[in-house]
Amino acid sequence: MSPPDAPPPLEFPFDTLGGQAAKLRSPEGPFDPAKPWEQTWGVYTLTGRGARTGQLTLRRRVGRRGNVALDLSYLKACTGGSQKVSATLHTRDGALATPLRWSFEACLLDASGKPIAHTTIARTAVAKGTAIVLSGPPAERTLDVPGTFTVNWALFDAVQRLPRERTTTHSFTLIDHFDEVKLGHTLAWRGTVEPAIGTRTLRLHGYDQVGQGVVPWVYWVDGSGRLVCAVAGLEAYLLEASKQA
Amino acid sequence: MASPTRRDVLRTAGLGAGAALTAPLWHARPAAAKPAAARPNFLVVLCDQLGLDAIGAHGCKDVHTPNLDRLVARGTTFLESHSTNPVCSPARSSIVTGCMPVETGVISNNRAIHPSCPNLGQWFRPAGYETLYCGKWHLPGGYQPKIDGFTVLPVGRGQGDLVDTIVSRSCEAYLTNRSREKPFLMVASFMQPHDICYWGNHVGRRIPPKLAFERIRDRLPELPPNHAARPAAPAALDRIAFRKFSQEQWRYYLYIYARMVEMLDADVGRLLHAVEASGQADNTVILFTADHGDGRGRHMHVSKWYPYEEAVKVPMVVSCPGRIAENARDAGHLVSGVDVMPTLCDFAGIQPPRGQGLSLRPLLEGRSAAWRDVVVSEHRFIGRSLRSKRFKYVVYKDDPVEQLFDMKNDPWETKNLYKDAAHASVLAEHRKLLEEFQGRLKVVPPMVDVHAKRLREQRQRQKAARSAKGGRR
Repeated sequence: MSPPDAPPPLEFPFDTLGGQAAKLRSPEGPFDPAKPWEQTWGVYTLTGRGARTGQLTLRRRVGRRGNVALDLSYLKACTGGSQKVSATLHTRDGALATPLRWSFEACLLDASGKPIAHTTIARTAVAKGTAIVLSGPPAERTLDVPGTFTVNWALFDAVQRLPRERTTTHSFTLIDHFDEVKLGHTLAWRGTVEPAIGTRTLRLHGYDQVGQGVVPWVYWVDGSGRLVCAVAGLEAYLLEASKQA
Repeated sequence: MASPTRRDVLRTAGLGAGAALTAPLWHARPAAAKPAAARPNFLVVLCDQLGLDAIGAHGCKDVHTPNLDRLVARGTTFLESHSTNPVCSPARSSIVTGCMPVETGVISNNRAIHPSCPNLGQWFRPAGYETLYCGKWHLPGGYQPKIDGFTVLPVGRGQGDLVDTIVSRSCEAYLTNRSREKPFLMVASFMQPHDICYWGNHVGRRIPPKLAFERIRDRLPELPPNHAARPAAPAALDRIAFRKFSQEQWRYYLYIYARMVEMLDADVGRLLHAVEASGQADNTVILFTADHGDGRGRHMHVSKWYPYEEAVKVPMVVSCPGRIAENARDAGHLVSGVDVMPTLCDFAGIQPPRGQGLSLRPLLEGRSAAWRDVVVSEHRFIGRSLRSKRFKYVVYKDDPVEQLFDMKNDPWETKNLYKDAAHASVLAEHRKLLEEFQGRLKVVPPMVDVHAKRLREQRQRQKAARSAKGGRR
């Protein structure tokens, strides 16, 4: 039985964070998600006590003509090394941050940080009408993309600028991990919650994403729009650093 | 190419002369009969907790699996494919050795393979193959930095997408960049849809009474027809029925499982594209299988460990355009995880190590072959289920209850016939068949459960620390 002054239990999906929920925080200071910024999230796996397994950094750049680029750096810890993924997405500054083109490179690093032979792969992608053309060795490949689409990591940018109202529902095709087509996705306003984390109470606004090929995602942003937390099944991203560039 | 010597084999196994006492006692050595250029490549795609009928091509209406469906269409799929033991480590030990779990010493999770059983890497590398492993191993540890016989590509920690995208991306890169001097044998071992294993135990406890995502209400799969079926079974099996979910939560569980299968599908798609883009598709045998299935609400079960079809039946799809019959469905042959090793050896022209498996190659090439009449799975240290073409007979460890199901008239296993007088002779016949099968096994002592050992040692240390503290008072 809980002591009388214990905070109420966290609601779903914060309760799935277990002990990692204590790391939830909303940084102080003003923040404008439409302007350039850089944010880093710790990546957690949520079995057992949960464990930090990597780090994702996104940097949003805004050009003089309003064109937007997102630079991504994702390092995942491995047994005996790590995987590093780098990417740049050039996006329309629309609701879903749909990219016009992108490039990415992935490679495995050994325990000393050196690339492991034969494990580097790089691709570029260009959206052309209802298709995306992926280029890179050994062959070009075309993805058929019905309707609006976006890339999963671009959603980390998009949700920070979405209105907080029930009418916000977007339908799209998801390009997961830069090259996997997953159909029938919707992103919708979930609501505002005030989870008590220890002695602190946060005020967070949520969006959820459902569709083929993913377990439901929930994105939580703070009052300024910063993406504080994203949870999908046994996987969570918790904001560690955020700065306006 | 010269046949490898025993010294080569031992070197590959990481065993020098000084390690002779622990050296594998293999019954034969691999001998390459074909020149390297004529031998096919092998891509073994192993996934975790995927039931045979959980993909679109096998009739599941709740998932969208275009890549797995394409793999089925470009090859032969076996619809009577059985895990040797519906839990991770034992089943995996059979897939990579061709031996039953009691022969590998891996009778439950977290055990290493007995040195008398060479794995695929140890067998194929001395025969001139480049052997790579990427993903979950679990013999004994989940992600091993080193595996005898294989070059290991590092994989991330954690579950699901966090590791599977590393596996598919790294294997894709390797298939694209590798030197083509030697044929390859690559094992891409995915985690999904194993995340569902935590849904009942971890997330399930915290799923709120109302549906967490209202928008998916109209997309929730229907419950299976045998959801509430409780055929006569040992009390221990009845106890593990999962009773914490409401009907809606069960359907949500099924929804989540389907999404995890789709996650796997995307990663398999990445590998298929890589093989096809490499220009070696017609010389690469792709074998897709799983260690075991998942309860999926059938008999009110989550997870695995028990002998019902949902846990035991797994996909076995083999493809190689031009060599293997395409768009073919084989429902007439009882196949098993032990068949992987001899099948690959047959295609490579390598003599297989001893084991219980049969080469699927004649079936894949449309030739007739003498085939087994029964297939056996072990379960729960060690009960056994024996499947003939018509019936399934189950015995449990330390429990007198037996089970007999008529799989033709009762494919959902709802009625246990073991006390039915009309089936007494069938029961007796199946008992005899199981006895004969057991007589053919080369049983070894169980290997150490390293996880249990670690826990035991930890408890002993804690106890010692408590005693020391008490002594100081």
